[in-house]
Amino acid sequence: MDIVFLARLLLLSVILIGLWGVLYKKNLIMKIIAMDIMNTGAISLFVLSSWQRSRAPVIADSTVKVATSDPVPQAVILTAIVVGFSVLALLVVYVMDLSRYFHTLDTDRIQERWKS
Amino acid sequence: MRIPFDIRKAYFAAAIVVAVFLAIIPDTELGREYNAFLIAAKAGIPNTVTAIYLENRLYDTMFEVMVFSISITGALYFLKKENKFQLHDSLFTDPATIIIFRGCAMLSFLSACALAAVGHLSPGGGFAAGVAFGTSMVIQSLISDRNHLSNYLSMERPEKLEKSSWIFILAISLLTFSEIIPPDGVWGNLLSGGWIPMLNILIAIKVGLGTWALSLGFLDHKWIF
Repeated sequence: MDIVFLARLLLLSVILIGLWGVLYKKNLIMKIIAMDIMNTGAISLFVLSSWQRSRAPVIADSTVKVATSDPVPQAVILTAIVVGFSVLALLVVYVMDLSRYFHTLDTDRIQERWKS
Repeated sequence: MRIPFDIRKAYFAAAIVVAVFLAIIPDTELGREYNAFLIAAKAGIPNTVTAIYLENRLYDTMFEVMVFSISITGALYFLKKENKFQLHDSLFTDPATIIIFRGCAMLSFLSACALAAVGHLSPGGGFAAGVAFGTSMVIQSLISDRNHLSNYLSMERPEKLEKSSWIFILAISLLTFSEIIPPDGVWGNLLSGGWIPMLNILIAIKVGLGTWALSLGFLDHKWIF
């Protein structure tokens, strides 16, 4: 089989594993780590889609045409990397604040104590 | 509120359907190498990725650094709540560790300068340089005496500098949008490509200072140490 197809299947399964962690893990820190795994899978999927078994998209001479990787998915996903870092920092700090208030990280216990 | 069935199973099934769809669609190769050459020739710089995110998608980058800024403000707000700060002495006092950390900080600061300066000619650019700059600053704050450091560098200084560098990025972006661009230099020269080297350096300063402010907030927090 094609190596690109196999890598794409691997990255899609990484995204699904991250989604499983976000949905079914009870600990909030584990949920955040699973969300970061999902983020990494999506970023790698974009990088894979620009990969063409060729060199980096830096053009030394604009008159000689050589095959390079596609720069568009890489430039698009650069935004997602920085925004992912920002969201991760904000989530970690918010979970720290929640745990100081509820003295636990378990979602079920937080739901119980939220009512009372 | 009580949901009759487990909604998580529905989410997971929908995700599997989308993943199967993404796995079987073919990867088109249409007009890719042509795109890269067109973009590089239009922007006048060799690195096409930088050309896209600082010329074709400048609106996107402008508001992306604003998202970064706002999230750092929010994180520092949560960290500063209830005044749980304490300045500690230096975490590492072992002389061998201090020498190794100083070397690492120097190396990553030099690599940050190189990445920011030639980000439009080689792989690299503003965001990578910013992360390297922030790393060097965090290593330096780990080994230096924070009580001594806070005498001439307050905790709020990196955050304020970061916010003001966003104003400069906004001003240069507005200059680019109104087509007030310095003359193009020689292809592959250090001063070529209009405002792009300037924007690279400003983004590096902004991302580095933001990372440093956030890490100082985490380091000074009582909850961790």
